[in-house]
Amino acid sequence: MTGIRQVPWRTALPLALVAALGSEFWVVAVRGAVGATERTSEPFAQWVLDSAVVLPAYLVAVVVALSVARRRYGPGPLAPRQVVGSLLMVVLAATLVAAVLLAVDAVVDYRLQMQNLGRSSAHGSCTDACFAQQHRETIVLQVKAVGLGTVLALVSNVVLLGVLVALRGGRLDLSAGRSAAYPAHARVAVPRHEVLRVVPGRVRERPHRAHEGVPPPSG
Amino acid sequence: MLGTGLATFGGVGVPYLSAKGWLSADGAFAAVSTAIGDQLFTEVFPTSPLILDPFVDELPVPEALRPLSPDAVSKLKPPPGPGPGEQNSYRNEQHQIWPSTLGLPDPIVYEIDVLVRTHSFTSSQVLPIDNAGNPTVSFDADLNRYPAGTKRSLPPSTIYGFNGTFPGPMINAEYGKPALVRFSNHLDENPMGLDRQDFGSPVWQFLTHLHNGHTAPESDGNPHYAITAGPHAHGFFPTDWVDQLYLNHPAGGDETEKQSFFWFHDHTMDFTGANVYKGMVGLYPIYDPKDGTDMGDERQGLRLPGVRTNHADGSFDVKYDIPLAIYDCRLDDGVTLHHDIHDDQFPDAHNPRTHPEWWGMTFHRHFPNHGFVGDIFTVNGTAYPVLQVDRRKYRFRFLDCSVSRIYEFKMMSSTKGPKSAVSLGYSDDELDGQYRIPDGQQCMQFTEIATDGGLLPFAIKRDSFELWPAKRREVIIDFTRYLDGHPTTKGDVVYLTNIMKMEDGRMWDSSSRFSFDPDYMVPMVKFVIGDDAPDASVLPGPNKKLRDLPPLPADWRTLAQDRKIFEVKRGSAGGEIEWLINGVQFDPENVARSLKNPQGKSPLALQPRGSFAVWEIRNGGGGWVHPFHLHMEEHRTLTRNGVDVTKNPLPSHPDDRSREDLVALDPGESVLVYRGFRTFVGPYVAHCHNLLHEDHAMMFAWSITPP
Repeated sequence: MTGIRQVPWRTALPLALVAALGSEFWVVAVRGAVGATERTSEPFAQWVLDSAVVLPAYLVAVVVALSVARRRYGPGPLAPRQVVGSLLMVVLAATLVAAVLLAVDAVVDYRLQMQNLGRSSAHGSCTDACFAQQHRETIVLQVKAVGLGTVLALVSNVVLLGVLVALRGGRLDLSAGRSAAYPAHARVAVPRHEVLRVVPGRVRERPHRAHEGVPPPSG
Repeated sequence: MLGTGLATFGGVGVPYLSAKGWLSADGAFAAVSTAIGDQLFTEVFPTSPLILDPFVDELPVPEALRPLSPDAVSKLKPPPGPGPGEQNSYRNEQHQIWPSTLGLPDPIVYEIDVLVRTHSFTSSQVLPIDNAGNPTVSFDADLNRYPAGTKRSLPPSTIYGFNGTFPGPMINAEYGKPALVRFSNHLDENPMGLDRQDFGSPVWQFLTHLHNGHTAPESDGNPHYAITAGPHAHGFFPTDWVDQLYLNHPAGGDETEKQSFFWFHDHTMDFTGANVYKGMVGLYPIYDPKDGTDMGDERQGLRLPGVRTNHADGSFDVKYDIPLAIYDCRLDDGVTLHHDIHDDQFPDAHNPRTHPEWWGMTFHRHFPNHGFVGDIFTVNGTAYPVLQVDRRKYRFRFLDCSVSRIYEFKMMSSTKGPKSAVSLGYSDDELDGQYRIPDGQQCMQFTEIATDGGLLPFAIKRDSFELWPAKRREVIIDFTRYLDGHPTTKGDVVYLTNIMKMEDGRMWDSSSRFSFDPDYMVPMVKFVIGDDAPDASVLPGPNKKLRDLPPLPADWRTLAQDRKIFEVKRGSAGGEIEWLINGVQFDPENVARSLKNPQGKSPLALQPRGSFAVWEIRNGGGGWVHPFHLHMEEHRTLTRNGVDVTKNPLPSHPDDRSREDLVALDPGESVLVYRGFRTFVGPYVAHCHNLLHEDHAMMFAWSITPP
């Protein structure tokens, strides 16, 4: 496994943040649909709070996925197919976290809901068989909710993380620190006005051209 | 491009999101959660067979129920009385106030049995269709299968009915003349050997609520009372009886509190919707004889339409004064799965499975996530009836006794007449209502004279009006002339038309005030204008005082600081507990607690007898509307979303300036109401009158304490 100094933080952090915000949106929305009532108020604030709380879990998942990608493809620069492959690993890892969190949510909701059902049984015409059915229905509903939430999280992770990578020029930097794949001398050599003119499709050409006119780095 | 997009969103999207209550950060989550819920609670409802000959059956015009003779009263076992143990068959209750205490005469006594019987919504042949509108197969009780395209006659549906009819009897009451009704449960008897199907109270209970009579708890028929006193159960069981005493005395003896149109319906805890849908509905117009104000005689008082005929037994009928009980239903197609969270309570049905043997009979589901709306619209128990009217003015008392559906009515004419929605190419939910008048044009206005709480202070001219579940609206229709002033002629046809599209029980999809669909005009009653008839009634002008509103205290804004706050909201507390108030399910044994009010208090829902208070009812969002009903006294609306409506109501709710017993809550709305708690003490309830919400915990208990 990759040591902490080899973690590509500049890549992992934004990916984890976006994955946390995107996935938790669905966790909170699913909770609003089928969750225990006492946990469904003020969903926007809950989304912000939950996303912050679970961010480390997403970060770990993303780092692990990037480490696997780095082992497989090397630190980069990555070919387009390798970028897609690495991105998919991140998506799957983030979605796995979302699924686990949805499942945990479902268990918490189910326990709370069963307490409520127990309280209501004092007055109900609902017999034991009736309550058994209500328990079953609640379980089935929660299981279906976890499944649907996972699919929604998967789709949103594909879209959001894909857009994030696209906005970064279609690159996925797997190297630790500032620039194993894109050395400092390369970045220095690119005139600022040229960077601003660069369109995403040409991004991979710039380091190569810049490298030709610049002495190798000393350290 | 971007500007155009933003302008379009601003013009269309913003009002849409706003109307749904989704125009906020939390609202966005509510919208997404609702959409997710839609995917998780998959529900399929049958498409009712197409009624082939609409507007042939006569509109049933109910006649007044006759009271028992003194001799018959004395033979009741036991006869009614004011003493301890005389109020019900459990012998554990006493009428809190007997009429003589208030200087009123002894009550007129009626007897109503709750019976298992049958009802037919139409005599027309039908064509079984599927949800695409194509002819489809049908079945009979012996499981014979009929090929697609076969015209059929509908089997009668099994009902639980007051005196075995739907709607049940109509009691014409009068202020100053108390009535006592002995309700007896005979639901254990099934002399016709009818299939009870899989809905209605599974243990055949009933609990009758006179909506919204100013009555003592033991006569109110509410679950907070029923659980804590009387039957100590959800309702009264077979062989039980209960005497419900309706004093016909306004709250506080105040003339301004007089009402004009009640109805009585089942209120069994958890099964109100199913029992009402199964037929337990009755009518109770109440007249005001004081100075002849509104006594059903158009020659006296306010001279509202009505020609009264007195009967020797003390009852009376009023011609030209017709109640219209609006109800939607859905008939089984034999191929739709019956599956419900209550399946185990109906073991004979062996659900989940289909029931071809119930083809053509009423279909119901206790716990649909989206609410329950029917695709056949009926009036006084008949689908698409016709009424031959004299060429004069009529008073119509509208009541929405549907489970969830809201209507918006308009009087329309049509050159080409009704066309089936199928023939016009519609399918799925667009088939709701079965018929349309594609060339419909508004041709008359309504003169609205009363709401839930009785006569308005002044009549209101309405092009259309909304009718929410359990609400009443009374209007005068002048069949002598059209909107443009031209006189009508004998043989002219006018349709009472529903222009509100509502595809599920959540809220309307289109109406006059929200995404109007000009193609959705469903004729519900065909009026055929006949001969001239004497008419001594007078259409009240805009300045003609009908009835004063009860006064508001000058300091109501100060009172409002210490208001009780109740927020209705969809939630999920497990199983079928889905509709909640202040985040908790209905607790029939304990009064609810208010949310924290501006003074930082969260009081219990207790009010001393004789007190007045401001309560706030909030819609917690989620894209649902809620008709929220407060038992026992009428209220006045003070504010709607913070806007003072005591003098100038909002265009969306023009009759907020009246007395009502239901708060019509649009998505995200908050309404402050002012009301009294007089005459009686004891347990009452307040609840959403979307009956599926009520049955799934959107109700709270409150109580009046001794002063």
